[in-house]
Amino acid sequence: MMTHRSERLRCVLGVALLVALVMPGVAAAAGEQEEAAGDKHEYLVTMTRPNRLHLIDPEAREVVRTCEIDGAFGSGTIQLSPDDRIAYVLHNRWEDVVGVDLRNCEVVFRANQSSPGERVKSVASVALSPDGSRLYTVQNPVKLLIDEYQVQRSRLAVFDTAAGLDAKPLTTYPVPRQITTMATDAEGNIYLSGADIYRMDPETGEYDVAIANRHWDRPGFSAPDSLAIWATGEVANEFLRPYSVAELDDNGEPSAYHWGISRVDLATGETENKEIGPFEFIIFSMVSDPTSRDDFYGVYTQLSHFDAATGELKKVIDLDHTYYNVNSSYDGQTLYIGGASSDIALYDTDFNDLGRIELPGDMSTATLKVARF
Amino acid sequence: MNRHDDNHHDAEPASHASIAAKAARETSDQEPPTPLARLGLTPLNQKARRLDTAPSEAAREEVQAMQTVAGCTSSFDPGWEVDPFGGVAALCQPMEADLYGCADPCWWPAQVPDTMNSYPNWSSGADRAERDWRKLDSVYPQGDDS
Repeated sequence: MMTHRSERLRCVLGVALLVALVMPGVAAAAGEQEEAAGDKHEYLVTMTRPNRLHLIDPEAREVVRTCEIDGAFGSGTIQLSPDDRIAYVLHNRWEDVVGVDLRNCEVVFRANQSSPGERVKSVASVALSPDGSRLYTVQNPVKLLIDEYQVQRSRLAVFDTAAGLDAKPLTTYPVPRQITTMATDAEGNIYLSGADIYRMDPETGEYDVAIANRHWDRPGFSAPDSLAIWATGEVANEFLRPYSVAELDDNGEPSAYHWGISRVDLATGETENKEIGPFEFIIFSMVSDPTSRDDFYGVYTQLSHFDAATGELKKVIDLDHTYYNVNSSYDGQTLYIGGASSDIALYDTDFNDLGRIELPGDMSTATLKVARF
Repeated sequence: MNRHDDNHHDAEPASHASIAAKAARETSDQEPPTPLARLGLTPLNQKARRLDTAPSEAAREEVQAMQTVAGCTSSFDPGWEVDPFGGVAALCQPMEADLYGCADPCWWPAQVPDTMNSYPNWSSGADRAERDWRKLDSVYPQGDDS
């Protein structure tokens, strides 16, 4: 292990030196970033049954703090405040959003979205404005009438994060159905993962298609299939959704299957949509290497590594059970794998097994977030 | 088949001859068999009947699976019985790891009680499925459900 670490350190230092020589601007920016990170410590944040929010030290492999949140589990979708100290959790069977101070478990925000006669569910749809002052959800309301359930139009709700424990929407905007994960870019635009990926102006509620998926115009390809439940991307500052797609021959028959990604750079708002490698196994979530954005890691019952620049599946290993959600350390050296069952697995990017962190309950659909403070 | 058709059948003696004659009339006068009938399948619920009787291919294509299926909608995924490749190797391993991931979003409500709406307390006291699966029970209609 020591030898391996030494080699890795040499490798990192070598790359840093090379970067400094050929790209001094980049090196300076990286240095500033490190300085800004200062003494910050890296944590993992996730939810487990029945109602527990955990702050975890991955270096020590231990749970630092556990906060019990009133209400039942689900979905456990988590978004972090800009300073990473407040975790906003979609809770209570996909209905309420609760803001919890990770330093002391104090509940600082709560929005119970359902009301008498109307049940509201959000399917992993939570995001924060870049300054942390506004919280967005997509609400899927149903009127509970005496003899029927009446489905209402889906809507985006805007909350003031300073509104306390009985927060009500400041406003709502109509949105397409089938929205799941959300994110915001540096300018405040909201991205909504649905049949396509939409971009909304939070001031007006107007939206357009940022990345066409179901409605893309790509002769020679089938419509894509996507799964977007895990709200990660905070490390590389991107909104990422993997998809699978069939490439079609001249007769319209599938000739090859691919994994691809739809991605929004949340610093610039730039979008891309491309195939990254062969579709040979299932992936539930994906994360890019924050230091090498065309390297993608996917997880399900396998852990996989794709090089999008070459379209190559560089490595795949079987895991000891299915996991749903992969994330990355900020230095890009460690992969954190959680969701589904009750342990978080740690691997380096060569897929050496670095250990497990056991939790007291199943994570199910919960997000595995990476925080620094 | 609607109630009017049922009454019509009640009024007509159901002899083999009349059934054969009716079948012959249907063959010559009526629309060709529906897509599901051509496959030897019979739609069982309202959604399947509507899909089967869609007036055009364009209308059929309006029936879209969600990109992400969740929330007690009908999943087009094969389910726990077979994976997307037609085998079993790509199913979740073990199934206990995936149990609450299917129950919580109402993913396959026919196979797993959904904790989102219908059976919210199904998993109470069983926080780790791999350890606590023996505590989980089947669910039965009761009270307002029956």
